[in-house]
Amino acid sequence: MEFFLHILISGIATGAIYSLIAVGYSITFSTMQILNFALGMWVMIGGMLTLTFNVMFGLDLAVTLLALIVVMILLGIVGERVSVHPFFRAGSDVWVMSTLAVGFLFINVAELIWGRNPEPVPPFFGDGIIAVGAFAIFPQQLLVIVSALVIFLALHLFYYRTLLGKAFRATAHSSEVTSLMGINTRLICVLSYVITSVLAGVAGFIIVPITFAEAQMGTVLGLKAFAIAIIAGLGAPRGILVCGIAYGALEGLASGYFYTGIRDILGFSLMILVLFLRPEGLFGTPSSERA
Amino acid sequence: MLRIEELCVGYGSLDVIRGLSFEVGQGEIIALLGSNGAGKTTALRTIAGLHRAASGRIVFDEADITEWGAARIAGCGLRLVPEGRQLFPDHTVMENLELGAYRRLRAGGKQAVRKDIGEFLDLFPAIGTLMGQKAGLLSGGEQQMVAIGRAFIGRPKLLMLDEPSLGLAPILVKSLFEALRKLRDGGMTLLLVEQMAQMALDICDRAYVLEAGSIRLSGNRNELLDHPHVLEAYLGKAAG
Repeated sequence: MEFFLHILISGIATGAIYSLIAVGYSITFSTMQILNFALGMWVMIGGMLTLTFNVMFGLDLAVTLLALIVVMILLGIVGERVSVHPFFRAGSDVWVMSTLAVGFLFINVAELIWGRNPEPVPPFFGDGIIAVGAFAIFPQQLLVIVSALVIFLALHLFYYRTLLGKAFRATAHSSEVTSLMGINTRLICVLSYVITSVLAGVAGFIIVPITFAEAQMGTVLGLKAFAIAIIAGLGAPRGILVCGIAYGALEGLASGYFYTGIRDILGFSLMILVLFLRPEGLFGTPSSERA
Repeated sequence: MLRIEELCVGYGSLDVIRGLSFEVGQGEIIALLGSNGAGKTTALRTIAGLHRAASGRIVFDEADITEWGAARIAGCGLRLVPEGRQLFPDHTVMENLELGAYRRLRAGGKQAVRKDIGEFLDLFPAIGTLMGQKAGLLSGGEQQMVAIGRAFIGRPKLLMLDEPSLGLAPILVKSLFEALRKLRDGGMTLLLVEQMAQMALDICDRAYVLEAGSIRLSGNRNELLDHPHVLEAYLGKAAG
């Protein structure tokens, strides 16, 4: 029972991170109909910035997070301007390659600046274990789960309780009609890219003590998050949270009880199965039902 | 207030609007009449900034807005209620109205917007009980009222309506046009594209008849109501 709980909780924590990255795919897809295919590499930048600010410069965690958010905002603005806007405006699909190119550029730059060796980042709340009976969890894992839930709640409140969030949802439905309301949809598109960038950076900040800081730390994470976004449905953020956590738990249990290699087979097989049976995703709305 | 000068618009090599010129004065209701494919919708969409003009000028309040984007044009007081209502179906009626007043709300005009929502509900009392309802669940008539309300809440100087009667029951069309007349009486300028020529001519001050992308006829309401071509082609009556 103890082993079961342990791998289940680890899996849920991993799944929470997948969800956090996966929702980034959903945000840009909803507003711009584009995907930042290199989102995992943006997560890596968040991890590397945490290593730099917190470990190398000795800044405290709050300042590290603040500085990281500022850098991710700037990178998001530049990334959108360079790798998406020119092609999006021309009605071209080149953004598929250009977003990936930016991701590989990040990896190369990261290797140049920080080297190829994984660098440890200490857990934010120490190495101890929080244990209640058979239930045990590392503080960093708890932080991951709580952060993901808080961020999803914040996103929900933003989308449904703020005027700007309502404009985001309107743009997702029709950018053209939204612009007829006097709403700058170009700004909404840039903001959606920036939010995605910041979320990826924050995901990197939270997980880097678990994964270690290295140039490839986000590559597989980004791919799995993409699989989750497809399984849940790109336009279904709440579904992404549920699927991400379920996926993480399933992956944890499968690798705990069978063998580690099954994790990757499981996720991508599930993605293909869902695409075959329900192309809009488990929580997505079929395009024919959209008004 | 609005001046269209020798406007030409096309899709690829296909010319849809050819040298279109007309004017809308302050406080007028102007109708653009014409059959399917005459270029009425394209004209409105170009004025609203959704299409680029190949040549010609669009002047609104003495500003040349020909190259402006849709959001900027809406922001300067020229609003389009597009064909087919185009509400945001997953937003509630209230949220649709708030989005119509986006700029005003961002500028801190919450009280004024609330007052205007009250005015809108005076005009369309049936919507009062539907404010929390998702717009996609409303009937066609209710959606049209909300679409007009959404544009009205933005306090435009000129409101353009593309086929507001499309798909509505005759009784609803009548009350809709009555509401448009009240909007004009309240000081709003209207540019109306409509296939139901009789209804449009009943409420407009002047009208232009668009055929194959350019103006074939123009005149005040009474002149056009008596014109043989209008009688035959648009009102289904024998001339003379």
